[in-house]
Amino acid sequence: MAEPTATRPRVVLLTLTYKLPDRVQSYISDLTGAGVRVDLLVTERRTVEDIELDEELVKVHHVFEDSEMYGYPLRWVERRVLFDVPTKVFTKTREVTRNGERMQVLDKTALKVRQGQAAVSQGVHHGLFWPVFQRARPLLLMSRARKALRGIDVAGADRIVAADSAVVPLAWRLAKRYPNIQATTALDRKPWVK
Amino acid sequence: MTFSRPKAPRLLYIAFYFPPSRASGVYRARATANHFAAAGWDVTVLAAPLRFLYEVIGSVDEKLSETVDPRIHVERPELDLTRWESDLRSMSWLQGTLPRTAVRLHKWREERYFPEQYVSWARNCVATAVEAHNREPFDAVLSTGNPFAAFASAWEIHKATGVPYVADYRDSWTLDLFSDEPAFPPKHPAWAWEQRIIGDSSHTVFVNDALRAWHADRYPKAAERMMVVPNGWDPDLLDVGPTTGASKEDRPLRFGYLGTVTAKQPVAEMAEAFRQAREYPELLDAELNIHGHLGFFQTSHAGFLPLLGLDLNGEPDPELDHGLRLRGPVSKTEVAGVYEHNDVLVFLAAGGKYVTSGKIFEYMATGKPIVSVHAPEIAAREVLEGYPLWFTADSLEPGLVAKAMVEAGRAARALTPQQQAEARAYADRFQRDALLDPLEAAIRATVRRPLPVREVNHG
Repeated sequence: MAEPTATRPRVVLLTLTYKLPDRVQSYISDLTGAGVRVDLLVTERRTVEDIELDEELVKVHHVFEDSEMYGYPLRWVERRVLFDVPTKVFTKTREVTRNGERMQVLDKTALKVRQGQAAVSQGVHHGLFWPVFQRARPLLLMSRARKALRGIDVAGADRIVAADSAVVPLAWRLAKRYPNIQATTALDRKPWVK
Repeated sequence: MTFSRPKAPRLLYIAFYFPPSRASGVYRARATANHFAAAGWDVTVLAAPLRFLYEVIGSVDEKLSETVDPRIHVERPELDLTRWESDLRSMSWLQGTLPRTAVRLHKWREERYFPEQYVSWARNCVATAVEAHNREPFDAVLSTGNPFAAFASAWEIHKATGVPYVADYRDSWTLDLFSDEPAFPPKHPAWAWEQRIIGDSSHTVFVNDALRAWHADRYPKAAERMMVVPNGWDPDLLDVGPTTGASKEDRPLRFGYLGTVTAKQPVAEMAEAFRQAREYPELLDAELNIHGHLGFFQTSHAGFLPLLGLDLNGEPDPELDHGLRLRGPVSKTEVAGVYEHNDVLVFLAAGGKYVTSGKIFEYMATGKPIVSVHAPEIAAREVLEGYPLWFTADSLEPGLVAKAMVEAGRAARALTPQQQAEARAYADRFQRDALLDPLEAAIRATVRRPLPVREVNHG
């Protein structure tokens, strides 16, 4: 007779990347193959959208119901200011300047300004905003993940696994709060997978 | 009036990989420590902490520890595991809060002293050694690399205590064995460290003459103090059984390769050569058994499978099959069985003129035909050239390698116990104990006090 699902071992697997890496997918697949239940915490709903998971054994929890971007006003504003608003402005401008020979000079100028603006926006995003945000993200996510964690019975889990470095601050605090549960960054399959 | 007997010489041996580690370099370290203990030395080994071996590397063989002479005293100085830490609860507040920054800071701090990740262990080695030396002085220090931080600690101990030291280059440090080019850019700190380590050592040891010559060229002032101690094989770990000559069974020939298959090795050439060799009647239905891992990581085997004519499960693919069989990893205790099972041993090796593979000595100890699949100028030639059952194409051209395989197959079919005994007699000169004698004598000569007469006692 098969072991009832509720008595099977359970792993709380935390990952806060945008896409679920292959090694994490294969880890989940190995665990569920051995009958281990997995509480999987991911960043967004779409992180696992295209991935087939054992519905009986894997329970997915999201930090953000929608895109992570909408969870942080600063990130949303940055996106608007650097990319969305300029795109709209230039699209409208070119709708006017594209027509008629008299507008040719203005159209060329608008194109050049658009190219310059795109380069500056990319530079600011990749060279300034993103490096700072990436460093702050694990700490920001830690507070945002609290709500999602309420849906997970961490105290009753057999192991807490932090699958990437962004989730270490959250996992480290859980490890301190639940001192009797093994807490690791290793995707260790033992003792469940032979 | 009474005269007290001089005390046994005291050797401090700095060997990170020591049993129960089962890293490839551990066999030389094990044999060296045992050899010195048998020669009357009071040996203290400084080795890697067990937590690193069991939890970080996970490559241990507890039975190997039983082969270490019980007179040897092993200490395991601490190693800072920050960069490998996987236990969340063991992480500091900084690492638990800013993991990337913490690891970067840790690396920066370590690399300021020595360009290698084992530097914290090396520093603790120095502290342990100086403390032990103050209790009872050491007469000599022998260090083996990798890790090369072991050399740095020997140098520091020498500076602090004046005890002479020897650096044993079990592996190459500043020379890339696969490209035959320097492994570091000109201003890298490894060069300055190597210069002071070799410059101040009483001897520097290499595993082959090509490596000795390369280093002698770079450090001519120390050239006279450089010596070669080849790797050799360990009779206590390999029971080669009686000489039986060719197999009496009526079956196709079995070729065998033992070890990890890596991307640097000429695997495609070997597979193609074996496919061509099987077209000769002597090798009809012959198989080439691969006893080992494909690649160093769990995920690295996939790239090799089609090359070897195997499907994703490692089984022969009917459309690509040309006799290669994946037999999986073998524990050290099963190695003799692998040699017994195969008729011809395939010496597949990467790299060029500075490479001597350790496994070639075990291959020769079996007294079976060996066929080479490697660059013709490889340093292993130095030892293979005297072996009577060595077959080489002196090329990696598959057609020529195939012919060498066929010749080796013929030799295996016709092998007499007499031929096998002659081949083994040649290999006997590479028994590890015999090779270590000159090193023991050289280190003994550096001791600055009267010593008891040398008596060999294998415990």
